[in-house]
Amino acid sequence: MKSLFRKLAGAVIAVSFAAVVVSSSTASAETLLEKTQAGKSVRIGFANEQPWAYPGESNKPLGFVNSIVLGTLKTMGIENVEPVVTDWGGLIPGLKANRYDIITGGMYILKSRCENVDFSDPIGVFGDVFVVAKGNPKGLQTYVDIKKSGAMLVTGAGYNIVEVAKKQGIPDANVMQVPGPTEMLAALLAGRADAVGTNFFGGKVLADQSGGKAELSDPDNLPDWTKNWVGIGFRKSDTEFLKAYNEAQAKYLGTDGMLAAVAEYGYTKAQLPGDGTTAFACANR
Amino acid sequence: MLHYIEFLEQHGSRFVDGAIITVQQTILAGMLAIAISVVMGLMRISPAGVVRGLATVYIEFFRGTSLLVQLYWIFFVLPLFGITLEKFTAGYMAVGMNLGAYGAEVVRGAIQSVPRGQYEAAVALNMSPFKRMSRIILPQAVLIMLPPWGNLLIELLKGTALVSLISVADLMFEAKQINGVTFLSAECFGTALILYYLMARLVISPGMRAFEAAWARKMGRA
Repeated sequence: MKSLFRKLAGAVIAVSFAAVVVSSSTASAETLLEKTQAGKSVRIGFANEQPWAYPGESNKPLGFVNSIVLGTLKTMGIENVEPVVTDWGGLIPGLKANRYDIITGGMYILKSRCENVDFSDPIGVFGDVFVVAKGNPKGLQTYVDIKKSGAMLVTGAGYNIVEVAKKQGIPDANVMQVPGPTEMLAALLAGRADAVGTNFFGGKVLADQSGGKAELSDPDNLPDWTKNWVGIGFRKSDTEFLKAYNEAQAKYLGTDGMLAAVAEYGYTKAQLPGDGTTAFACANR
Repeated sequence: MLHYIEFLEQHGSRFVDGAIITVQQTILAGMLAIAISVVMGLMRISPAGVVRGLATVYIEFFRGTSLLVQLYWIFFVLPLFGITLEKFTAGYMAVGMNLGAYGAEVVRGAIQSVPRGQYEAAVALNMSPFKRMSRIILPQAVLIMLPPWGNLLIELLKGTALVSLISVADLMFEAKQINGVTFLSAECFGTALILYYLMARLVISPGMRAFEAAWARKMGRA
């Protein structure tokens, strides 16, 4: 009687464990194209980067990158979209772990990123800027200024600024990495950092939110090779969907409908990518 | 103060939504932790070396590595091996498994603190090991292990805050989102602080104390 109980208990445990593992493992990885053809929802991953892509009430995807992607997907006939909000540093790992299907965070196309994900054709070209305390007391306008004055630069974990700062010779100890925009502004206002390195749009939002305590440096002072193209991130295995997406985006980008939709976030004709290609950006950034 | 009340009126519902998810995570993780603790604790004092060894490996691994790393591992790395858990499940499983390891040592300590006389009396009365453990030893051990378990459950409640980093929409996640939009850090994180404190002080602590009193009465030791 005892040993029967033990055998039964062992069998139940083994079966339930197997059931958990089997039911939770993915079926053979279906590509994004197959998923959309089957009518499943496309999951878009983004962080909290205003005005690029950020969540509204109940994770509603806001921001101009989300607007462009949703508009393009709509022209492809895909309206079933599920937003997944995560932090910036986890965007690429999350895509690779199949937590979502597209990265709409508004990622610059960089060589180090191209090695891990495939980018769509550029959706725009953007520059960086420094956010500094009102009056720019240390006179920080370029990376060389920061290096010379030994100032503390704060930026986000996984931002392109980290690589640029290293390239410009700023020592690692002077580059503070925090999770995102709110922490960057908090570090500046608390005096823990002298300058925030971020993209121009994000910087404008921070300066506006600071209640007059922070201002922007002149973005034209930063080197030309820090002008970056932004693309939508896809898994390396979703090449067919990427092709279809690029075709749809080429038709949608720059149309009056698209520009009207992104106008509220500050995206204008000046940001349109022009001749920039993803291949160029992957090789040269 | 008025500013804070306006803030609560505007964003209060999101905090409540987050708190509900936190409560769900805490309950599920707690149940998992208790189950794992009892199993692993008993395995730790098993006469069979292999069983003891398995339990020791589990306990040392999950106690010795940080909960955040385990969470990220389950969330980002397991899918590369084919095991994809939905993020809510990944959240409470990681927290439960981690705290289960701590709880296992608490259970083991409590079982071993039951007076030897009880074991000997049970053997003298010809009780099977299963009956001895379930009818005599464990009930007394429960009374001994309840105070440390109160500690662990509060620790568990706070540990669930980490699931916000794998984008589960719990209290901490909502607080960070609202902070990201309003930039009102003091109000956001102050509210989250208060809510966590209320959950620990008004639910877990009194709950554990009431359970202790009830169990002591049952054991005739009240």
